[in-house]
Amino acid sequence: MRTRGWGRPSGNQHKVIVIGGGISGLAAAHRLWELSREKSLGLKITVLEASPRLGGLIETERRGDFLIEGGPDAFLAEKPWAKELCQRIGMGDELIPTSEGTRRSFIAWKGKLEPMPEGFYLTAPSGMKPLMECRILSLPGKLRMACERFIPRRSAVGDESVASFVRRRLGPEALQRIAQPMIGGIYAADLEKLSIQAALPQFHGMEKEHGSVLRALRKGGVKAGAAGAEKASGPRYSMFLTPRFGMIRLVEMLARRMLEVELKTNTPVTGIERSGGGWAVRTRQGDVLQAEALCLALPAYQAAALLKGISPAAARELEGIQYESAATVTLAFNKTDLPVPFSGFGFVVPAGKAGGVVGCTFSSQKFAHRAPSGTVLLRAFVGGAMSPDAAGKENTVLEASVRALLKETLQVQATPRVSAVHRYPKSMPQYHVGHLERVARIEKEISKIPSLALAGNWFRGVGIPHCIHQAELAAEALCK
Amino acid sequence: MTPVWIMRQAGRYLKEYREIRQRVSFPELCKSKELAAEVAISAVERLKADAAILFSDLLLILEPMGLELEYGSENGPTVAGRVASAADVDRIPEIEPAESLRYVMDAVRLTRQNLDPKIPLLGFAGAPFTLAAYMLEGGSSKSFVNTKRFMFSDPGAWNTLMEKISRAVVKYLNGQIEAGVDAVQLFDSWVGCLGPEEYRHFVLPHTRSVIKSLKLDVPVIHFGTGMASFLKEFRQAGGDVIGVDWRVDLGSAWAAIGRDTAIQGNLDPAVLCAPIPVIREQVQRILKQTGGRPGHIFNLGHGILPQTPEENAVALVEIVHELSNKR
Repeated sequence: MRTRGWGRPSGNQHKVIVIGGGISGLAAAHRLWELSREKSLGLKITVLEASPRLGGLIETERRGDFLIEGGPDAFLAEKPWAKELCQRIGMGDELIPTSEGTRRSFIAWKGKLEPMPEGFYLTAPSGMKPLMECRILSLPGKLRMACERFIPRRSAVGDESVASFVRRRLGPEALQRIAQPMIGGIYAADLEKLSIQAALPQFHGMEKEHGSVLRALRKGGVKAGAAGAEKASGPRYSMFLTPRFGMIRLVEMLARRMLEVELKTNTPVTGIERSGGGWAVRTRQGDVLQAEALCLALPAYQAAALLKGISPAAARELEGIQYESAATVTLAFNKTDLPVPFSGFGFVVPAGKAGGVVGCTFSSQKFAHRAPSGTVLLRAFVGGAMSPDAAGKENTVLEASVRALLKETLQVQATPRVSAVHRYPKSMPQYHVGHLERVARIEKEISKIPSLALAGNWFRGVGIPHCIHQAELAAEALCK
Repeated sequence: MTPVWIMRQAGRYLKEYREIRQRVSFPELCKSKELAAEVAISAVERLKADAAILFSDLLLILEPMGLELEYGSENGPTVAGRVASAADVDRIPEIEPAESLRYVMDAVRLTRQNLDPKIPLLGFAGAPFTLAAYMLEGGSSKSFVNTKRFMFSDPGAWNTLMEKISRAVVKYLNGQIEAGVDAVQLFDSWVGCLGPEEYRHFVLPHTRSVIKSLKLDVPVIHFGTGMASFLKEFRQAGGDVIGVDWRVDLGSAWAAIGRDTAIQGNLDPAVLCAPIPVIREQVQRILKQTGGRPGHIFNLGHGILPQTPEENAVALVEIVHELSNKR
């Protein structure tokens, strides 16, 4: 167990416990620590983490000269909260952008890698030229996409699935061949269930404001979107940042900065109860810790289990958020092992193919300092809603699926120099249609309970910036 | 004539085995189909036993499940990457033994191919409880406190773990059956640390589901140690043959499990380190307990000890054949 901290021996301390030592829990604790210093609140902050390590899904591993990211490998710079946090904790200089020159992505299509045409903003082309050059779509499919500007606005209000939105506006081919691999890959989701309002609010907004996605994109209707879309293709890779020595630096620097915060690993929480005006937190070791305020930075289903006796309504809603499992398979090869040179950040795979492999990132081309020269490091993402059992397969099977895909698309036959599998069971929250309304109902129920706040990747964004934002909001709410 | 074979009959007590082991490590031996077949066959030929046993190890199945095995320490093998939480259980993958344990299936095929066709080949696997205990303890244990704490404090995660292991064991044994073994033995070597109620509640349903899911045409030997206090429950989990250790009287054990089920056992392995007349006496005693009924397989109550004189093991098989033939 790692325990640390030397809170002032003052009697006027206010104890706050954060349950969960992933990025959300650490960001919440850090914001509490900052506020305590700024406003002299005298907070005594404790983070309880069930597993032996901090960081949750963030997991960086060094294998010789290779830098392997098990979980998220970067964050969006466009959403400010992660970048700002990095600057506040003194690691702004460590952030590196994606590499120049190779910012392209591909789709594995009929055994070949077809480039995503330049100018595709996530799934819709920003002009006719990129659309016509696209080899993935048939001519009728392209014409159907081009008709998007003439499709009337949806009359019904309320949420709809991404599949329904794309089918309605851009046609079934755009859904199947571009949207599912691209967007489904990012969210590990089934687009028939994925909420357009929660996952792609900008598209929803384009239709509402401009009546057409293509028209909005032509006008540069998405801030920074069109600029990014002109240079890069696919999920705009140029918009990503990562710490030079891996995402785990974010965890390390947070832990190092908030010295007075007690960080307890190997400490699963088995129950919480109201006690006086505050909380009693029971750990697996049998200890009961008292706190005046509590932040649950947990997967929705774990928060639900703790809240069952306190707010059955909130617990029921939290339980309704489904989770999917994921695994990443990282392989390293010698450059000479690739008969076909590959210049790009990676490729996505249409759903249900390749043993549940959703996409493959060429980590050593996406970021510098990932692999020694003369080698390539690539990372495949397996699992998600379209292949729910795939991520639970044993290492040999996962590696074999990825190697089969690499053989098919890039004729790679060599044995990898390095192979690493990282597993994230029940880790990917699914933003189903109606998700935002559900989150609003949860927030309403939680707001009735004094000195309790929630954080996590199940709120309004799955990425690191949103996790941090939500966690900082939770910390601020507790200090009010 | 009572059939006889010896648990771990291809082992350190054999000179030929020791010679091979000077060249290769234990895991290497398990993973080389040629060597595995050679030691299994030479042991059955040396002993003139009535069955050959696949040369393998109970723990190999844990490797594809994400644990690392370490052989060679004094206190038996250890397992790194111990399972300690419900989250660890979620992380255990579903295995495809046809892929990751192909070397075992290859060893079965080669052994079967080179073995006298009249001699049956036995495959085996660890039972769910014993494998779970290895995962939770990280090795051998006196108190099994990690296993029991996990079992009692998080029954949901315990069941998930046992179900995952059970699915793996079923695939693994069915793979061995397809590859050509004639019978399988399920080892619940550590189950004796439990009481009857715990066995019924936490173990029996899982072991039963494993035995029920095995291919029907192959007999199953269900072996445990130290389960004298819950023999009936142990029997309820299934098995055509129940294997018992030396801590029970074979006659009363057989009465407890019912005469419709065959029984295997149960000479104390330490007896094989005593002079041959003593061995003869003890064999006589056990055969008397069975009353000469068919359905008894003579065996030790646990694996043969490495310090056993080779000639004593050979003598045991001769004595069992001789004495049971007289009846």
